[in-house]
This record gives sequence, C-alpha cells and structure tokens, in this order.
Amino acid sequence: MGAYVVAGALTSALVGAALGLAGQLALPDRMGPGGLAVALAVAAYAIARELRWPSLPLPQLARQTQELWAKTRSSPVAAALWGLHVGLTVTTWFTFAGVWLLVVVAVLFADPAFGAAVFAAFWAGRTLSVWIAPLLVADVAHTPELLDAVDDRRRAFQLTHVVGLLAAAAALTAHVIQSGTV
Amino acid sequence: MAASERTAEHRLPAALPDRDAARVDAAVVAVPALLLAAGAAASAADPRLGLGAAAVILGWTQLVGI
Repeated sequence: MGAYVVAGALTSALVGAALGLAGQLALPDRMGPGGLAVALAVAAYAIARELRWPSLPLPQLARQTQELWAKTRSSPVAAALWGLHVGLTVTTWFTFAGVWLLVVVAVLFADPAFGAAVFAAFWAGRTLSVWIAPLLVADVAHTPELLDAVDDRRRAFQLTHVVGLLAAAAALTAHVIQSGTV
Repeated sequence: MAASERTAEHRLPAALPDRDAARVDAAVVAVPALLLAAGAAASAADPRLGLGAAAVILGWTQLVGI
C-alpha cells in the first residue's frame, strides 16, 4: 500500500500545483473578496447537493481505475499505477461534491505550492483508511465486510462531508478577512 | 425450507463482528472530530492550515463507495 499512497500523493500534488499555476497565469489577483464569493457559492452548491438535492449535477468522469493492472502487473506496480491514476483526483469516480471546492480554491489562491498542499491533504484523507482499517477489524479477512459496513454508514459520511465543506468555508472566510483584502 | 428461502439465506451478506462494527461507528465520529479540532487549533495560527484539515476530512469521506 505504500506504493499506492506515495504515487497518489505525487499526482495529487501535481494536479493541485497545476491548478495553482493556472490561477497564477489567468487571474489578476490572488484570493480576495471576489474569489471568496465564488468559493462560497461552490461550497453552498456542494452542501445543498449533499444535504437536500442529490439530483443536482456533479460533473465528473464517473469511471473506476483500471482493474486490468492487477492482472497484468506485479502487485507493487499495480498499486503504484492505481495511486498515480486515483491521485489525479478528477479522472476517476468521486462520491461527494466537495472535490470541486478544492479545485476552485486551488485556482483562486493562484499559488502552485498551496494548490499542491491542498490536494496532498485531500489525498492524505483519502488514504487515511489504509492506516485506520487494520485498527477497525480484528481479522483482515473481514475487509469486504468492513467496506460494506462503511457503505451502510453512507449518510454519516455524507454529513461529515458537509461538515468538512463548512469548515473549509469558514477557513476561507477567515483567511480573506485576515489578509486584509475585505 | 423452500429452495427460494435457502437461496435468499445463502445470499445474505456476512456481517462484521459486533466489536468491529462498534469500532467503525467510533471511527466515523472520532476521525473527523479529531481533524476538526486540529483544524480549528491550526486556523488560529493560519486559516490556510484549517483549510488543509478540511481537505483531509473531505478526502476521508471518499471512503464511501470505493
């Protein structure tokens, strides 16, 4: 799993950096009141979708990573390839809408290093389960049941996602106020 | 037992042992709570750190549906 985690961190950071660079090249200013308004609007949309209106569109490619790699490559290579692929973040399926807030934030901050850090943080959360799962099940043979148990708690994760969006919105607002652009 | 009942019984998914299920329930609450607390504390120094903690929470929730 180490290869998966490291490879995904690499591509996640690269995607975040690329978005930050795009912001740097395209936007006249870094995150200010106008950017905050855009980010809060995206956060509000994502929250509305997860809390009340699941039919709101969630743009994404909606595809899994390549299962074929497990059959055609050795385990470490397949894990690294999956990490590289899933770490790209927007090229595979994602469950909830908050990813788009992070995309917008990375662009609006117009700072490749910060964009890389935000996407690396998202990847860290995504792979947290790799480290926590062994603490949850006494027998690793119960991993499929563990995944079923997680899916059974989908609404709890969805509400947690909303909490994460609210925390992000609060942090963004505090940043803009502190930076004195309001 | 009718054949259809036996088939239905056979298809029941295996449940996680109670102790493991309780750990999952605890993790669902504890993991984001810890991240939120860490993010709030870090935000006092720099709100961008709070944003990073929020990004970790958003990533954690993607565990659903994998």
